[in-house]
Amino acid sequence: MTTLWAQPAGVLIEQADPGWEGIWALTFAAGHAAINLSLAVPLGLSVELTYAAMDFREAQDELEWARPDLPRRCAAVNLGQVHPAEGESGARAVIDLLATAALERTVALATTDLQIPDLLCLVRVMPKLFTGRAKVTGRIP
Amino acid sequence: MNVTYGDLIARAARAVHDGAAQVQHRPFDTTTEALSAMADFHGVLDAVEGHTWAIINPARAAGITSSHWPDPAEIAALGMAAQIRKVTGTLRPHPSLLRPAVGPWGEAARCLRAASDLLAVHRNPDGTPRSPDAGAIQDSTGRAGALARVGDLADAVVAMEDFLALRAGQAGVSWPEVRRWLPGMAAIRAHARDAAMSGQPGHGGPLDAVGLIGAPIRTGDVLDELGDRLLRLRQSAWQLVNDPNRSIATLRDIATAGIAVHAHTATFHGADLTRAGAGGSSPTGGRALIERGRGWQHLHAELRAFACPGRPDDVVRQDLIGIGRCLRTIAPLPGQAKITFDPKGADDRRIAATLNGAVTVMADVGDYNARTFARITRTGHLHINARALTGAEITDDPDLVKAKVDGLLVPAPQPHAATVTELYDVVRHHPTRAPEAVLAPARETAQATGVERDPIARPEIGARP
Repeated sequence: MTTLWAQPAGVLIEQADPGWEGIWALTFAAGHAAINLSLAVPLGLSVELTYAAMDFREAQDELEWARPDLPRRCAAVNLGQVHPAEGESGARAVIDLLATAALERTVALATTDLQIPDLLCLVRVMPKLFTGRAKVTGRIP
Repeated sequence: MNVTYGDLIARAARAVHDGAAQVQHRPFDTTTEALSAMADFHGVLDAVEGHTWAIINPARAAGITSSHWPDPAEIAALGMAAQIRKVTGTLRPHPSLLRPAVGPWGEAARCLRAASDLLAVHRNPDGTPRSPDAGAIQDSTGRAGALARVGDLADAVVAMEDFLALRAGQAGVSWPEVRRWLPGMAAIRAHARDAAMSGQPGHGGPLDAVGLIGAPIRTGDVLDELGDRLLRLRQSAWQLVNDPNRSIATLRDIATAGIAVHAHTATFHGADLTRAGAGGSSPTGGRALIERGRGWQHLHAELRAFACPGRPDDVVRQDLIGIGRCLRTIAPLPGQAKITFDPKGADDRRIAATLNGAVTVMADVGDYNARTFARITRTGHLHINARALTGAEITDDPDLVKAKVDGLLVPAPQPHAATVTELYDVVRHHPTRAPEAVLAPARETAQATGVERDPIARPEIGARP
């Protein structure tokens, strides 16, 4: 059974931890959502979404190299297949929200008192989340 | 500019011609000039001999000469090399290498030696391959073609002997000295002709396209850049097969390139990629490219589930982004703006050739990736987060149930690996070209009954029934 993405994504954004766990969970969800959407739209539209998924996955990899236990401790939320009622634009909007939430948490975490390796990890994560989101939405804020 | 083997041989042939024309049309002004030309003449012959050994591994020489039925091109080339050495001497390094090349024949020798070096970089000192192109060098057909052309070149060089002797005598070189340099080269010519006659000298075959490994990416022209990046991607994929640090992340990245290449090529050939089920009903042309793009896409999605024991290859990732940019420039997808691109710089035919070449390269890459994935599977290093497993997959195994609850990594169940293997069996073949006939039924031909099978498992948004 498929459901609309907006509701579970909203819950995830609201309840995700403000620290590393939340960033990982949101990034994971955004990456999977980008992949699922890319499989549901015509090939011409899916190329950029696949590149976006690659960026999200790279951000996720960076987090996991810094904190290897994140996949075990965090909620791995896969929003599932895109519901026809949600449509392509609705799905893109959900991915935008997830990536934005992950980005905001990353920026906030980077301003706290972090060890240098952790800080540099977030520096590498931020541009990936940014470019991934830009590829999904087609705009650079 | 990145040179290929074919370029170097063509340059050597032109330089041989220029040298011959010079000797024919202009007498030497001084004795020194005549002696220098004869030294260059020996230099070309020495380069021909060296190039013969670059094509035929010296370790095989004894086997070829003792064989009852040797390859005609190889036995003739070996005879030619032996005769050349009698004339040019056994002193190593050859004296021609110790002075700068000044005339066209010196240039010809330089090009031939560069071609020898180019072939050498594709093999390790023990003869094992260093690139996917090493197969083209080892291939007997390609080798025979290359030897035929070398024989043809040597024949053309030796044909100038008498005329060079005449010009040297005219310039004041003593006749005994002339005979010392040019003692009569009929034996070389006989073997050279035999080598040339054993193949088609005009066709170098697959060797012509062989270039250097690790040549710099040419960023001045978008089509050159795309070709260079794809070849580097092919080399990386080939190296990954034997690399002990086989990263699933790199396989996943390469799958992204597969999607992009097929989508942009389909767009260039007129398929409308914004409609579900676009590309026509024919299993060839646009439809085949779209289906192959979808195949790579499903592969990408399946590979995402696996854990990555190693970091991704940064060079592959850089090439992937570069390939995407180049493709957007020359064949933008619907909705993508063309980036600065001068259409006068490249006609449609050149773009089509580059894109079709890209599709062929991705089939090669798919084959290498399939082998890499098979090795990773065999070594038991394929892991997956237990949370990705379904209830049916874990229900009979309490350990898996616990792993799923705890979010632990577990060895990937066989069906997951089998799905990826099936998808690789599709993408490792060219989307429109029929697979080559094989003598024995290979595993992939036995299983992948449908190269054109529809890998799309989910309906697209807006798809009509």
